[in-house]
Amino acid sequence: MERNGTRETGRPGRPDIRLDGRKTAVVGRPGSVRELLALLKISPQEALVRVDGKIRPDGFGLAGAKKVEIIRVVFGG
Amino acid sequence: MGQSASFSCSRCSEPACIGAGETARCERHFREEFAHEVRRAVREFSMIKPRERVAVALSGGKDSVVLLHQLAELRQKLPMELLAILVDEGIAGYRPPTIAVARKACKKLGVPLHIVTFKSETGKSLDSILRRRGKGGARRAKGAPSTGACTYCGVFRRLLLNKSARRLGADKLALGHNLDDAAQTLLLNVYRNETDRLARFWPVSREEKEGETPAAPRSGRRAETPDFIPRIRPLIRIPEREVALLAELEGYGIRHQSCPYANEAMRQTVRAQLNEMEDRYPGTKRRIFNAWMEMGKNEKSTAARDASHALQTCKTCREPSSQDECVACRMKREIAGKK
Repeated sequence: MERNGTRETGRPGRPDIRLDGRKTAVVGRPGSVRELLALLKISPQEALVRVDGKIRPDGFGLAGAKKVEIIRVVFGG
Repeated sequence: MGQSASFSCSRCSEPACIGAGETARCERHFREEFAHEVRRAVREFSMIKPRERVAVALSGGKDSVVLLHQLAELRQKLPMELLAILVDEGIAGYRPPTIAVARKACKKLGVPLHIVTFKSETGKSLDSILRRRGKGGARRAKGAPSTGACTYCGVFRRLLLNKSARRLGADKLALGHNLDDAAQTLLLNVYRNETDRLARFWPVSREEKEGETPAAPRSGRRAETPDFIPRIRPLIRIPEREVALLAELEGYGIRHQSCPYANEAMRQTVRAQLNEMEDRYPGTKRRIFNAWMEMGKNEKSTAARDASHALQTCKTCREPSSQDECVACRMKREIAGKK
């Protein structure tokens, strides 16, 4: 089932994408962190993205990335 | 796509963790500039004087943990005595893990932690107050209304923080409000025509001495009362996302989980609006904040605020209040089922 440009299963050859710890697959081929967030309808202001273990800026390219973790910044705290 | 130089820190050649082009920063330079912004705010608004006792309102969330971390580092340059106060509202499933984070952070930074509870003040946890009022407990259905939760929480949290800070001999109470909080609060108060709240908003709750610094107006945002511990907001110039980034980089194990009662719909709308504006027009939040700071320096409007926002003493509990009787006392009667 698709929701917000995501579905629950991934495809071979694509990076392992995790949103708040849950494995997520995106529809399309995002070239950068910003494009990935746009596909998921997440504001870049409300997320941090770790690519292969390092937090990267919005414009960072995802070609060759093995693991992408999206951490949504929650309000408050 | 290979990574171009625009994703290298513009100060050195290390890979960037935030920004692009001229604003790209590696972890080291991001940390340095973050600390610089905190020092700048502390200095600009005369938030802390040497050797003062500063109580940090610590929840175990990203903002308060980063605030504690920054003030602990600042001790090297500005000697101060730090302590942390954590208010446990009694929200099952949500608060206990953040208490664990807070304990870990305090231990690492060598800061004593004091935990106070809603139950000790009102006889009930927030969960049981809300259950009793039939407005949903922590396990309410997703999307169900939680009217009143934030109001109860805010009133008793402020009361407990002030009382505890005073009991512990603190000179200042440091809050983890960031730039996003400030911009949202300012816009919300405009949207709601809450002019009193708008007038009170400032990075410090009052000034120690009249005319001490041109950056902080003559006004105390509140008239002075000995029972009111002045509040300071050292993270006020830092965007929320950067606070979250530093929390991640420092590895405090922050849980990025919203409070189950957090359902202030209008604030969430304003947050989304501001984030969209920031995306399209970078610097929007900072400009909103700076505009308000400029207006706040106007002596005439400041004098008007002084006259209308003097603090009194609550006739029931003797705590600082803007009315004859404070909201907390009225709420306590309501919770106890008395008129």
